[in-house]
Amino acid sequence: MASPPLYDSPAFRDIAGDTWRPGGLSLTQQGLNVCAFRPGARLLDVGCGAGATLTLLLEEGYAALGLDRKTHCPKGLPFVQSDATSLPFLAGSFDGIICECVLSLLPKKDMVLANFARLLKPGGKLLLADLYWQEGQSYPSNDSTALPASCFEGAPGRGALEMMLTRAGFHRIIFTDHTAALRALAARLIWYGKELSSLFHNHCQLSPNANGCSRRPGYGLWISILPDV
Amino acid sequence: MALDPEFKPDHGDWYCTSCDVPLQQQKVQVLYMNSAFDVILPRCPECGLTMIPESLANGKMAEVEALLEDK
Ligand SMILES: [Zn+2]
Repeated sequence: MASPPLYDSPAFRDIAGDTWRPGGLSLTQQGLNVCAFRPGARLLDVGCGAGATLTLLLEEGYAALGLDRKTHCPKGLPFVQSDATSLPFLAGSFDGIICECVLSLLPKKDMVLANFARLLKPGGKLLLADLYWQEGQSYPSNDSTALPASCFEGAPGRGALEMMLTRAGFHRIIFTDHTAALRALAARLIWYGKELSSLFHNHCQLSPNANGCSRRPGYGLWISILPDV
Repeated sequence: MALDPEFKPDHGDWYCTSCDVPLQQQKVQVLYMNSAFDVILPRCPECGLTMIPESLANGKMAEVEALLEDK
């Protein structure tokens, strides 16, 4: 019997798991360049998954800590198991928070963002990368308390998200669009991935909305900065 | 990617009618949504005609295009 192809083996998929994300680590790096954290800055990676970004942060010389509700972070990396909606830290603990492909999956986004702001020091920065809806009104489940069924369902409209960031206390928001990376990842999944549902932490279902409305998903990077005092 | 993914015809044996030869599983580079992918697809060894299996075209490809492309 022939052995399964490498990209199909559980071990490889575990390793590659975190890079099955629009833009991969190079988008993370791009965001870090904008943030320009000082060396040794205390950073929290919310929803660190298999630890790809966390590893990058440590390599870059930051005092980084990963958080995920599952215990699948590789041994040896600084890691806390917790839910992103109840973060077990004191106010002002971090210089920066990284949150990639996670917010869209969470209920109570207003509360989550307010908690991020509370955990950051004055002048602290939030690096957020996620799906958003490009057109029309924000999707209903924006500030719902129910857990979204998929990250597409849970993705906010761009305007709605930026209003939530402002309400949370962030006063400068730098947005860049990376929808091309979303398309590139989708194309890669068609040819190299096993299931489309492996997009974004296996929670997603690519399901065009049934009512034929023309909403289009986009992918964005937001750097949000708290006031200095 | 260490190994190129292979896509076989959904059923049956396929021939290129212009060249009258059977299609072979060959490595090709697919350009799709602005990216290039090395994959193995049924292809005519003479003229290079390449077949996209129906299950792939009507399955994952159609799903992604419906979501991301303006159509
Ligand atoms: Zn031919």
